[in-house]
Amino acid sequence: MLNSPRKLSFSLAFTLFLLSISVMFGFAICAVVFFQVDSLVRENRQDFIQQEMQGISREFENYIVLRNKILSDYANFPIIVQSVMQPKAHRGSIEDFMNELTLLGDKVPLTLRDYAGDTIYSTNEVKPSPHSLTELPKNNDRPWFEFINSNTEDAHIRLVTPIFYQNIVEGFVQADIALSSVIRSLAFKEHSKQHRIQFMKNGEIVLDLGSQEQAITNFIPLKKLGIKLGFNTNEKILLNSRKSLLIKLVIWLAFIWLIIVLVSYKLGRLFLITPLQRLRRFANDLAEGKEISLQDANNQFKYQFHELAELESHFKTMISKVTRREASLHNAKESLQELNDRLVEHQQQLLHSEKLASVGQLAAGVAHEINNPTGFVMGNIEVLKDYKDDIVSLFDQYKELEQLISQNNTEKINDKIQDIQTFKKKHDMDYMLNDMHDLIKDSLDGTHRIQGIVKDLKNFSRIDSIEKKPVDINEEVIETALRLVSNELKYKCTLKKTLKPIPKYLCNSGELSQVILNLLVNASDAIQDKGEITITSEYMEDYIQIQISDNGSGIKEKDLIRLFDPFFTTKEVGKGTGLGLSISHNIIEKHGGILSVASQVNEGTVFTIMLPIELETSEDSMPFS
Amino acid sequence: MRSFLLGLLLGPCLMLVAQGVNAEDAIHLYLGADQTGARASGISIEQGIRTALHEVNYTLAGKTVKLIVKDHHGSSVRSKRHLSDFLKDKKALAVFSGLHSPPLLDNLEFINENNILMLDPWAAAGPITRYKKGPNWVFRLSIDDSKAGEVIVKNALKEGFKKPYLLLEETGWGRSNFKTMSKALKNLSLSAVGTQWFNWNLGGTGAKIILREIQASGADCILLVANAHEGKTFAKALLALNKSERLPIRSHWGITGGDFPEVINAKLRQGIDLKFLQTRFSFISSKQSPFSQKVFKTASNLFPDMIKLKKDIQAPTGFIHAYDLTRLMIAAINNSQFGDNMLQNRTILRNALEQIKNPVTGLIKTYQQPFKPYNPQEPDAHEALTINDLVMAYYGNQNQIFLDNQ
Repeated sequence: MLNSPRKLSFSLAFTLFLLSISVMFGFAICAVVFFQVDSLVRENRQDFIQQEMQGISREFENYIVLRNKILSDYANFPIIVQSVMQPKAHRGSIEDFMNELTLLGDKVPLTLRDYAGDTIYSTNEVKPSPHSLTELPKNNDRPWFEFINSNTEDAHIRLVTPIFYQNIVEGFVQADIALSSVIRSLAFKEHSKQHRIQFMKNGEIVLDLGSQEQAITNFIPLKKLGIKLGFNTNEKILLNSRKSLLIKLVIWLAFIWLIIVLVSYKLGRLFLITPLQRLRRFANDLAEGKEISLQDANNQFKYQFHELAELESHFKTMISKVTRREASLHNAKESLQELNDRLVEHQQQLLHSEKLASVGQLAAGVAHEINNPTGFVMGNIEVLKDYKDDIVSLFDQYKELEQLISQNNTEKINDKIQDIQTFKKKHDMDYMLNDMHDLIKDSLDGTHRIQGIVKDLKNFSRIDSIEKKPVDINEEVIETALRLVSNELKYKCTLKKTLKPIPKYLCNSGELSQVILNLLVNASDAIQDKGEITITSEYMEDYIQIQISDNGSGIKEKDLIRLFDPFFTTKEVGKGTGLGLSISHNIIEKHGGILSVASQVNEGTVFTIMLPIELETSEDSMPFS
Repeated sequence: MRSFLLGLLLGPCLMLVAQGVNAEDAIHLYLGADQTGARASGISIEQGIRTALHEVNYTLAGKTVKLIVKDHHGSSVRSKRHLSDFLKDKKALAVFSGLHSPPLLDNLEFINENNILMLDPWAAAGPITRYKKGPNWVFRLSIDDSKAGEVIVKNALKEGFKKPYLLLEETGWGRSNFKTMSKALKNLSLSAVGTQWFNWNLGGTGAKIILREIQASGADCILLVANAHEGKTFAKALLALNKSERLPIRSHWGITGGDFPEVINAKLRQGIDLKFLQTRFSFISSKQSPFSQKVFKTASNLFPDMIKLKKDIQAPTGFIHAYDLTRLMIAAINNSQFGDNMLQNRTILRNALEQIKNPVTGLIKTYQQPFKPYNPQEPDAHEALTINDLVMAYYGNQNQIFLDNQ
C-alpha cells in the first residue's frame, strides 16, 4: 500500500461506491419520477384545460343559444309579426312593447328589421344595417350572430333572428349584446389570465383575449354557432410548475439520499468496513509475520454478519494452517537446498568423471604421445652420458698434458699431444660435439612436447576454472581438442580442418574444448574403418559457427530425438557414460548457444554449434584480433 | 290580306306569347297580392284578371298587355317595395291589390302621392278608397268595410243573435270594421258585449283564452274580422273547446282568402256554426247566366289544370271581383284616348274610370257608372259595389261557397 501511488482506502472506496450507486439510483428515480409526474401533470393539465375550454365554449354556446331562443320567441310574438308586416300602423305599440323587453333580465338594444333588413324600430339609436339581404338569416336552424366592431370599445355581438309569418321570413329581431357584458358574464377575463382565448368566425378572429405571445394550438368547434374557439395554455405556468416540481423533487430526493448515504455509511462502517479492516490488519500482520493473538481478538469483537464471522474464523484457521505450512515449507526448502547442493556437487563430479572418462578414453593415445618423446629424450640422454664419459676422459688427458707442460717434459708433451689427437680421432670428438648440440635440442623439444600435452590435459580436465575468459576459439578450443584427440584419429580418418579467423570469444574454454573433443570422439566412433572428419569454424555477423561432420554410420532417426538425453548411449556397455552429448548440450546452452545435429544413416552426421557473440561484454573481444 | 292570314295562323301563338314573355309588350299591369299566406285569394285574383284580359287578347288601346305578379305575403314593407318597382317601370299602368288591407292602408299616402293607379278587387278596409289629402287613386270593386260591418251585424241580428261579441285583428282593417260594426249596432240601439283585439300569428292558446273570455262574457255570437291564417287558429281553438262553449261565428270574408276550407274541412266544420260575408254572386249557388257560363268556360280553358269544376275556383270572391274590375278597366280604356306616355295614361285611365257611363256587364251585376270623381262628401265615389251587393254565405261539403238566403 505504501508503494502504490495513492490508492483509496477500502472504507473510502466503499463510501464512494455507495455514493455513486445512490447518486445514480437517485438520478434514475428522479428522472423516472419526474418524467412520470411531468407527463401526468401535463396530461392532467391539458385535460383540465380542454375541459375548461369546452366549458367555456359550452357556456358561450349556451349564452348565445339561450338568447337566440328568447329572441326567437320574441320574433313569434304576434305584435312583432304584425309590426313587421305593417310597421306604420303598429309603430306606437311596437315601441312600447320593445322598450319593455329584456333578454334574460338584461336590457339590451333590440332592433326590429323588415324583410330586407331595413330598420323598423330600434330601442337604441338606429344604426344603419351593415347587411345586405343575402347575409341575413334565412332560417332559425342555428343562432345567427356576428361580431360587430371587434377590437373596439363598442364591440358587441349582434344576434339576429328571423320573424316568420306563414313560414316566410318577413323581418328580423336583432339584439346587440355588448361584448364586454358577454366577457363579464362568462368570466372570459378570468379564464384568459392563464390562457389565450380566441373566437374565430369564417377564419376571421373576432375575439382575442389573453397573452398574444402564445400561438393558438387547439381548436374547439362550436357547431351550433358555426364558430371556432381557439386557445392555448400558458406554457410559462406549466414551465414554472414543472420547475418547482423538479426543484421539490430534487430537494426531497437529495434529502432522502443524504440520509440514506449517512445511515448506510454508518452501518457499512459498523458492519462491513470495521470487520474488513480487522481482517486486513490480520492479513497485514500475517504478511509481516507478526504474532497474531487469535484468542484475544475473538473475545473482543462481535460480527453482525455470520459470513464475516465465518470469514474471520476461516481466516484464523487459515492463519494457523499457513503458519504450519510455512514452517514445513521452510524445512522442505532447507532439505531441498541440501539436495540441490548435493546434486550440483554430483553434477560437478559427473562432469569431471565424464571428462576423466574422455581422458581415460584418450589415455592410450596421450600416453603414446608422451612416451614417444620421453623415449627419444631418454636415448639422447644416454648418448649424452656416453659423450660425457668421453669428454671426461679427454678432459683427464688435458689435465695430464697440463702437468707435462708444467714439467717441461717435451717428449712426453708431444707424446701426450699425440695421444690426445689419437683419442680425438678415435672418438670422433667433432661429430660428438655437433651431435650433442642436436641431442640437447631434440630432448628439449621432446620435453616441450610433453609439457604441451600435459598442459592441454590440464586445461581440459580443469574443473575449478568456471570463470569465462576471452579466448581464441580456433586455437584454444579447437586445436587443443584436436591435439588431445589427434592420436585417436590419425589412424582411422583424415581430418579436414578449415578454421577461419574468429574474434575472441568470452567463454569457458575448457568446457567448450570438452564439447569439441566429445564431438570428435563421437565422430571417430561413428567411423568403422576409414573415414573423414571435417571441422570448420566461421564467424558470421553475430555468432560463431563450428561444424563437425563425419561420413560415418550416421544416427537412426528414433535415436536422434533422444540424442541429448542424459545417459542415452548407443555404445557398448562400459564404452560410454551416455552423458557426453547431454553435457555438451548443457554447456552450449549455458553459453547461450545452440547445439544441433543433422544425420543420415550410413552417410554421416553433422553437429553444428552456434555461439552468439556478445561483443560488448568483453574488452578483448576484438574481431579478428 | 296576307297579314290577315298570317294573323289568323299565328294569332293563337302570338296570344300565348303575349301572355308570357313578350319583349314588345307596351302596357304592364301589376298584381301586388299575397300569394303565399292567403294564396288562394292571390291565385283567384290573378285568374280573374287574366280571364278578363284574355277576352281582349291582352290588347288594350292597341297595346299589348303584360301582367306582372308580385307576392307581398301581406307585408306592407314588401308591398311598398313592389310599388316602388311599379314606379320605376315606364310601362306600368295600374296595380291590382290583393286580399290584405294593411299594405294598402300603410302605403295609402305613398300610393296617392305617387299617382299609382290602384285597383282593389278584395281588400275591404274603409279608408282605402277614401284618401282625403289629394287626388284619390284607389278604386275598389269589393266589399267596403264601412258597409260590411253593417251587413254582418244586420244579418246576425236577423238570425236572432242578441249579444254579439267583436273579435278583430289589431290592424287598420280590424279597426275600420270595429267602427262600422259598432256604428251599426249603435244605430240599432245595441252595443257589443265586448271587443277583443288580436295580432297576426296569434297562437292557439291565446286564441282559446280569448274565446273562453268571450264565452264567459255571455255573448251569443262572435263577429270575426280575420284572415284565413288567424281564422284557422280561431276555428281550431273553438273546436278545442267543449261543444257547449262554442259560439256561432259570423265572419268577415277574410277567412276565405287562404286554405281555410281545406284545413277546417267539412267534417270539422260540422262542429262550428260559421257564416261569412260574400258579394252577391256565386258560380255554385247563384242562378247562372249565359254570360257567367261563358266566363267560367273561358277560365277553365285558360287554366285547365286548376279549374275543372266551379268549386275549383278556390277564392271565388277574388276571381269574380278581379274579373269584374278588369272589365271596368278595359271599358274605361276603351272609352279614352291613350298616348305613349304611360304616366299620363295613368291619369287618363283614372279619369276614365270615374267617367264610365256605358253599362258594363259583370258577374255580380251590370255596372252603371260604377265610379265617380271622389270628394269627402261622396265617400263611396270609388266603390263599385253597394251594400245591396253583400250577402252572408257558408261552405258546402265540397268547400264550395253557398250564398245565404238564395
